[in-house]
Amino acid sequence: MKQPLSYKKRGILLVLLLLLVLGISLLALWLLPETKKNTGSPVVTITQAGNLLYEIPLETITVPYKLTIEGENGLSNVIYITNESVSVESATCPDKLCVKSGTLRAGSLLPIVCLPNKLVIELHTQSFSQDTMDSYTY
Amino acid sequence: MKTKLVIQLAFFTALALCLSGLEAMLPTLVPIYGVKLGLANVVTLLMLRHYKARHILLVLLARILLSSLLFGQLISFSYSLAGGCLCLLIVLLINRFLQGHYLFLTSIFGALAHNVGQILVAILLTSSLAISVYLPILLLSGFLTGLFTGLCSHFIDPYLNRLVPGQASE
Repeated sequence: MKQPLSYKKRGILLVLLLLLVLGISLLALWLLPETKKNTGSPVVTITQAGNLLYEIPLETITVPYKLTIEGENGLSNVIYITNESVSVESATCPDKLCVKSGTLRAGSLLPIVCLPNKLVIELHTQSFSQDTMDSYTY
Repeated sequence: MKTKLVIQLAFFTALALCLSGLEAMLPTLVPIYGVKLGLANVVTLLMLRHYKARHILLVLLARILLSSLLFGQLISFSYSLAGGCLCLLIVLLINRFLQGHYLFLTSIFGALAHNVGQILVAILLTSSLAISVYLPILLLSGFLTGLFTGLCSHFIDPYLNRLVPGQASE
């Protein structure tokens, strides 16, 4: 006959499960920068609610400029792009977490997210190839 | 519902709202969505041993609705709702599994569930998988904040037994 587990054993079981989850998270955090290391030209993608709004290779930018992204409920974000970095300069949302997220550079791990405006700003490093060049210059 | 129960639930809702308000006043230390103390979760944990699941759910829903109207934007409502409901579900299951022991473990799993729920809604709303990069960070922060709220509830719980007698047997 199998005895039901005592609460102590159940507790130990859950602690082990927890350690597993934390271990995997730490491993993921440790391994993620490795995937971003490949050298190539950084490309900014700006996505709003799943729609790709902009895809700009940073090396094509000679003069830094600003982009304003309008969203529903009158929300807007002003994005500042130079030829090596992207940041959100100002936003009309109350928490302004996207502004506080700082500047994206080549090798930056986390995307800038503005949840109220459903905006995701990512920086990819793409290896240079002829067909991507064509689609950008088009 | 008995009048006494209504009053007690109202008391817990008010307490949760106070804690939400207190947390809204704290400056954001880490500029990442979802990295929060989750003080209001203390109330859910405290009610766990003394009330039925549907009563805790009532308090949770009232707290989320009122706090997003008072302190947040309307958009935060959907995140809080998904996070809060998933958190409550996991907390109830883990608490039953542990037979009411080790409240801090229950709390940690609740916090993790809360963060997972929020990130799922965020992925749905922005329909961008890029946000899932935040998951390991949120899980680690959830562990710490869950431990904190769990220990808070653990030390408050003995006093609550004196404050709200007679509910545990129900």
